Amino acid sequence: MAQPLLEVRDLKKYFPIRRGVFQRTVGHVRAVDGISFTVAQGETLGVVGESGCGKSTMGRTILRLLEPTAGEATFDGADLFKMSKSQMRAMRRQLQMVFQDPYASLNPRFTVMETLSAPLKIHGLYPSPKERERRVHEMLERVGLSPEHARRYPHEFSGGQRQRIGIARALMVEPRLIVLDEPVAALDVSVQSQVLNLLKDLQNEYGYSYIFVAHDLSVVRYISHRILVLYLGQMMEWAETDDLFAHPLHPYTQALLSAVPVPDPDQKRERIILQGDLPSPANPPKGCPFHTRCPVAMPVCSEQRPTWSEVRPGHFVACHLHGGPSTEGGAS
Amino acid sequence: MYAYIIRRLGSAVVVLFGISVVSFLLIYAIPADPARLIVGPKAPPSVVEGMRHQLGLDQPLPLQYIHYIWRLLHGDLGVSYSFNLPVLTMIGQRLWPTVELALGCWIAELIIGIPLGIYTARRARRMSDFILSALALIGISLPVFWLGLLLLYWFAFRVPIFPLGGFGGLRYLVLPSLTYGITGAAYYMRLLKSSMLEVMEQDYVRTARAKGAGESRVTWRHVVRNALIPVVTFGGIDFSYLLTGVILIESTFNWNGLGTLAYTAIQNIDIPVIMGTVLLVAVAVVVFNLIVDILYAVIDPRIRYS
Amino acid sequence: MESLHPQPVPVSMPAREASRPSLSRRLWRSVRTYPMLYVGGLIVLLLVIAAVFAPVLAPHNPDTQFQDIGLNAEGTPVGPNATFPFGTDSVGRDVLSRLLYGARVSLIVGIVSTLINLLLGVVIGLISGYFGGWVDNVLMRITDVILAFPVLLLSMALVAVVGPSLWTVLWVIGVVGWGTMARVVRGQVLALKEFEYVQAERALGASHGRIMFRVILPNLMGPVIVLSTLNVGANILTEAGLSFLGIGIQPPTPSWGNMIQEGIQTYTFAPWTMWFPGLALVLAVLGFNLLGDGLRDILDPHSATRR
Ligand SMILES: Nc1ncnc2c1ncn2[C@@H]1O[C@H](COP(=O)(O)OP(=O)(O)O)[C@@H](O)[C@H]1O
Ligand SMILES: [Mg+2]
Repeated sequence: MAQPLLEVRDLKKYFPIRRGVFQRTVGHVRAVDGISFTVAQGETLGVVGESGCGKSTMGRTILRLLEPTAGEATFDGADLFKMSKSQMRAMRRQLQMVFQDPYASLNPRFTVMETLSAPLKIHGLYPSPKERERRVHEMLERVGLSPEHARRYPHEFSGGQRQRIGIARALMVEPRLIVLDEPVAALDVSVQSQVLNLLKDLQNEYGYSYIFVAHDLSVVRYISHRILVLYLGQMMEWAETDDLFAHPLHPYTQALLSAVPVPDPDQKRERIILQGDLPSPANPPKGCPFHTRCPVAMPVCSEQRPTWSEVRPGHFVACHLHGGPSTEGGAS
Repeated sequence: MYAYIIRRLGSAVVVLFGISVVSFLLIYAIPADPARLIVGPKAPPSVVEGMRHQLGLDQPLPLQYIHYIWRLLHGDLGVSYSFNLPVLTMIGQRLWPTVELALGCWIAELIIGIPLGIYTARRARRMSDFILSALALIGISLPVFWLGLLLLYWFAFRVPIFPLGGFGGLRYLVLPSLTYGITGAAYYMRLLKSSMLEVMEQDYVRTARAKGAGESRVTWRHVVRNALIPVVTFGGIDFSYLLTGVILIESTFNWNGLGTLAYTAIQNIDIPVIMGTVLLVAVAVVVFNLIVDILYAVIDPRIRYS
Repeated sequence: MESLHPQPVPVSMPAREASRPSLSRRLWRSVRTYPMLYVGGLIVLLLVIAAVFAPVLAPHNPDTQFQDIGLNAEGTPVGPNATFPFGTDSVGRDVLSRLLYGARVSLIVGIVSTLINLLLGVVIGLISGYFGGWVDNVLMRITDVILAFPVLLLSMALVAVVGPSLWTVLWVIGVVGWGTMARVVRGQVLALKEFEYVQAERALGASHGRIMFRVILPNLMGPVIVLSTLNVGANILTEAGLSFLGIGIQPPTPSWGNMIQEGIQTYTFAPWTMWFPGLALVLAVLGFNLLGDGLRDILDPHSATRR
């Protein structure tokens, strides 16, 4: 593959837990604990995991809405984490974000026109108000709304329409990479597919790259080229979408997949119900983080963290069942 | 919880330091020259210079501040310009009357406010609640000094039940306390009402009611006890308002306390006395709030302090 | 969370257009829903009219001492009559005219000092809440310090050293009384800054200035307006207290506070000299309190502004 657009290496984001008189740090919430992946130009990377596993934190840290604890993120050859705040601010033209809750992500006091022209003003694009207006109208049409909507306030729109506005806001500056943090999770199922279609069409036409975050596999399947499965801030599996669905290797992925409704009733899959609660990221289990709930856990799983290995071309997994030859004491 | 209490103490110390800086700056950074004020307008410049030196006013400001703090920590608040007495002594003489008045005012506030709060909560949304709430708003809007004069007019002048002002036994305390009680009770009434309405919605109260406990038993055993917690904390916030009220009431009723002391000092531009009183009151507010916060942490350990 | 920030007041919901009741009925319904708002608003409006049109409305010059018709044979004030509707004071001046001019002092001091409170409180609270960390710590300790001094007492001390005048009183109350505003604003900012639309601005690359003043500030307006309205009432009372103690507005300029002070000498035989200025004061403060409480129901239903 050619030079990827974004390359993330060993990203970590720990939130300190403070206690006591002097608010000493007594521990960390390991929200993101060593994540590496790449996203190519025009690619969609789906990121999946239960809620609380660090997906939002990952997206926000890459965009430097949160400061990273460790790791690197190279965007188009430039190291995002070494940039000064003002360099980063300029960089935001190319890296945008769409938020989960379309009710909370639009300022209730701004008209759609104000919301959508803000990015242009912030980055000094289209200095004349007339042109900005024209751009906003164009963008509204591009996301399936009409120019008349520009004068309205967010509370006059449905959830789906609001999310289109949120998408339009991200697109105003013609970014190259967009982090979509569960953009359809708050929408009705019927509206979800419309928004997904819109995102897909926009990508086909303009070549955006997406990092698409979701908490269930069925949503990402449709839109993603590759899928990254996270658990407690760590990577479990990363593969091409079709490959992942056809040959899920990690027991956690299998469990997630078993919850996805199957279109073909003959091809029945047994539903795997995960036992126990999600452990706390402040105190993750030793060894493989998933071993406490894994239906096929082995003694080694509670001892050693499995290595991240490419078991097939382009298919990575962190599991003792599929440990490469280098893993000592692997599956047998 | 201990960590919270210790941090709370720490921030109180920082605030006390800030208070000392403010009162220091007020004394020394004012346009009027204290030395000139002491020696009088007709004294020759050499005498003024001598006084400046004696007061340490010719030293750099930070050094003066260190001297000031040093003296404060030894209980030396300076000497009154007009009476040539130590400020601390003067304050000491006036402290008890003010404490007595403040206690009287506070008790009056509670005696009026708490029963009305309970009553309006139990009659919420009825006519009597509406009327009492309207009266409460008027009570909040009353200037204490004016209400004091009205009460004096009716209950000391027209119908001479109580003395026409002055400091003395319990009889002297009634009208001033009532004055403040009427204006301040409304806060307790509203606070208790809303906190009772909140508690009444809670599960354990509903359970008690469902189990057939009598209405007044529910009110007393469960609701009032829990609803009083925010009322206790409000006591801390109220303290500063209470002192403001006391200053004005003292002047209306000729009550020989700290308020009158500050007032006379202001008439004479007796700066050490003014600042001594201001400092004392601010310190009292900080200490009082500290105590209330700590008590609150002890009473209600459910709250997480971060 | 959604309703924590006020929605634009839905005065014109297009869906209801067809079956809209008549204007007077809608007004009546609105008055019944928000009685405090309308009563308070009416009182404040009357107060503003009294202050603005004092020269027109006042039957006499407020400073003229009517030694002849304004005083009885024994030299005592005359009671309310056709010439002096609210009677005269100890030197034979018309109480009503002085009250009307006194409204000017109360309003100017109340409003301007509140604007100063507002400016200081909003800026300090906004910076404190937005930047957090040590900035927040320092600013909040300063706020604790200012809150430790009762407003009236610190104003007394400051006026004593600077010398009393309308402008001193106004500035002193303004500079002393911003603590509560700063606290309330900070609390709101802490909540608002976690909102996704604020995060969205950061993601767009907006500057701190834009986020603080264009995005967060307008969403603070509800609590700020409510608190400021209540603050006007409180500051009017502080001014009256200072003037009552003789260190506020200086005679012969009429202020309700110094009129009550002057009334002390005469109120046993001419009670109106004290009653009317006091009633004016109660009414004015009540008006702002009602208006503030009424506005709270609309602008700040979750009550960031309870004392
Ligand atoms: N600002 C924060 N401070 C402390 N912990 C946080 C913060 N934000 C998120 N977390 C914790 O990090 C973990 C991951 O959260 P998040 O990234 O929101 O998960 P997801 O988006 O996958 O649901 C959670 O345990 C959450 O409690
Ligand atoms: Mg999330």
